[in-house]
Amino acid sequence: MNPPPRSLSLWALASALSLSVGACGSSDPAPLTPDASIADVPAADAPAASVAIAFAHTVGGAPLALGTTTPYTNAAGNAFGVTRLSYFVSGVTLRLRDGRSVTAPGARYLDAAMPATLSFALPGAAPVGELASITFVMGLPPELNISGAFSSSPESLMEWPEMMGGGYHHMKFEGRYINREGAPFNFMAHSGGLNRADYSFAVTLDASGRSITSAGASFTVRMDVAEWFTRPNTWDLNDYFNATHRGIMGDAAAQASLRENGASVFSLAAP
Amino acid sequence: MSARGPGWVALLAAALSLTAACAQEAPSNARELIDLRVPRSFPRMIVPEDNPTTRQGVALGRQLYYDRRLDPRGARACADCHLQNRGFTNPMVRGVIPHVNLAWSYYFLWDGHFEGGLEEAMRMEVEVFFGTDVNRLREPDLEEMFLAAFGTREITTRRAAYALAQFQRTMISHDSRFDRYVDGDASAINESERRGMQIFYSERGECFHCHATRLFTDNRFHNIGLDRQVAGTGRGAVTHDPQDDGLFKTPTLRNVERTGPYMHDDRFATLEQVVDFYSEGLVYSDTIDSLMPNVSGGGMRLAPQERADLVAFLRTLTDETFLNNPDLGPPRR
Repeated sequence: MNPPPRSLSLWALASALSLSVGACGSSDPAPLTPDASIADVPAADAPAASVAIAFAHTVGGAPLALGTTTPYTNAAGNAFGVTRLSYFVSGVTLRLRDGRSVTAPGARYLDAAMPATLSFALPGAAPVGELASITFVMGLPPELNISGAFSSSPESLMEWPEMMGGGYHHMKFEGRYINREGAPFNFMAHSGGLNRADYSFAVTLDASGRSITSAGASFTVRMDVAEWFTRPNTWDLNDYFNATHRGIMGDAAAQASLRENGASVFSLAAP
Repeated sequence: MSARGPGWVALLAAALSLTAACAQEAPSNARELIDLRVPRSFPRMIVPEDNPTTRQGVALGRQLYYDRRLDPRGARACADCHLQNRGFTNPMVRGVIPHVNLAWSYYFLWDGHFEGGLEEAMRMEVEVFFGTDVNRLREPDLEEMFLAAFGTREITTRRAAYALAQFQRTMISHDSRFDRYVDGDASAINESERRGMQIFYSERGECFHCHATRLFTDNRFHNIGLDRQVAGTGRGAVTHDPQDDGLFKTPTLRNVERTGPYMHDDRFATLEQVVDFYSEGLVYSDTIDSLMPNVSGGGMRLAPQERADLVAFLRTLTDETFLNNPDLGPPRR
């Protein structure tokens, strides 16, 4: 860990973020930034509604069950199971067909083992109308990925070592697979800003046919975890997690590969 | 307190009621709130509203920490199992958790048998572990200290526990050579220690995910591969969930050089033995944590020099300021 030179502005932002986290508490599903403003908020006399967003996790369409067994099979034929899944999403935005939008600014910590983190309401009232898309950043974009920004657990436990660039993990995706020798072997698909290269990425989900009505709306974003290993890069876990290659945090090629595979990981659940 | 310890910054306006019905309830003096000066790199410290940290409360807590009157038999005090120069552990007592930075804990003991804040943990210590008889505490010196700390001479186990919690909040270790290095003093660690730090903060060593943040603990439970048979042990003995069998709370590594022997059952006498275990001694069980590397190969498989470097780094976490802070030692008469 190198001595972290930090600019005053970064510290100010980090402090502000910390204050926000502190105010919310670690299990409070409120956003992790203090400026919870809404873009294009409806005028006072315009129809508006409350909107809830939930994240769900699947494997090949079936609900993900965390555990130490290996009940799933990836595209490379590896039997695997998932023990831990936590990640950040940032700037969740609902865009209407008429151009208006509503955003939950800042970052949100999601943890498959902590149901309270998996759903949240957008701040304020959302505009009523037909949706075009739901967008967000998977992970923390550089402006939010600042060491010290999160002072409380569990967010703070996502820290990414300073000697690898600092900031926070975008994702911790861990479990067990059966290796070529037929033995259970741990895998740790951790992504983050390795040496300040940004491996977060934008996700855009087609939401046509969905709408926000005056009665409100709720949407569920699904992450199919098997897709992290599927396309365009098929991951044989033996190649990434073995006796000499323990993990991928320091592997820029693996970070890039995982980010590419992220393109097909998320979908919008049926209404 | 030391220059880096708590400072006295504010006066708690203890309202003296001249019409108090009971003179015993009248505070003898104003209580002074303490600014604990939590390092900015530490998590936010939560202090409950009903137990603000005051100079008088800390003084009472410190007195009780070293006072065998807390024990109905008068045989032991907290400090008998928690020696300051051993990082508030005791090598002669099995499984002692270091009393350091506990203000950020929400599980206590290796299996998390007690959950909550320091107040709840200290009530357990007073009421369950010691089984304190408040009649033994009803002596003039302590009554005066309770009066100063809580505005009443009435001694209760709850007030004793709250005072101990206040004292525990002052037990902050943050001035090791590692801290000085991270804060900008590049000369604070040598080349071997720097190499060890690189192992620590990489997946080669895979230490930092559990020994996380500047607290060097994630306050969570893990099966690190000590034993093949884990049924009914560790966290599982508390939750009765087989998924928790063999899991134990991550201990802080602060002052780890002084807090041996190591692991929940004191099975390793030295840091070298601990690193050897992580390097080649891991064994598989169903609940082993997914963070444990190369379990079938025994672990990290570090070369001898790498092991020496990692141990050298761990020794940079020794905080002499904390270990020798007179304000954490026995109260002066």
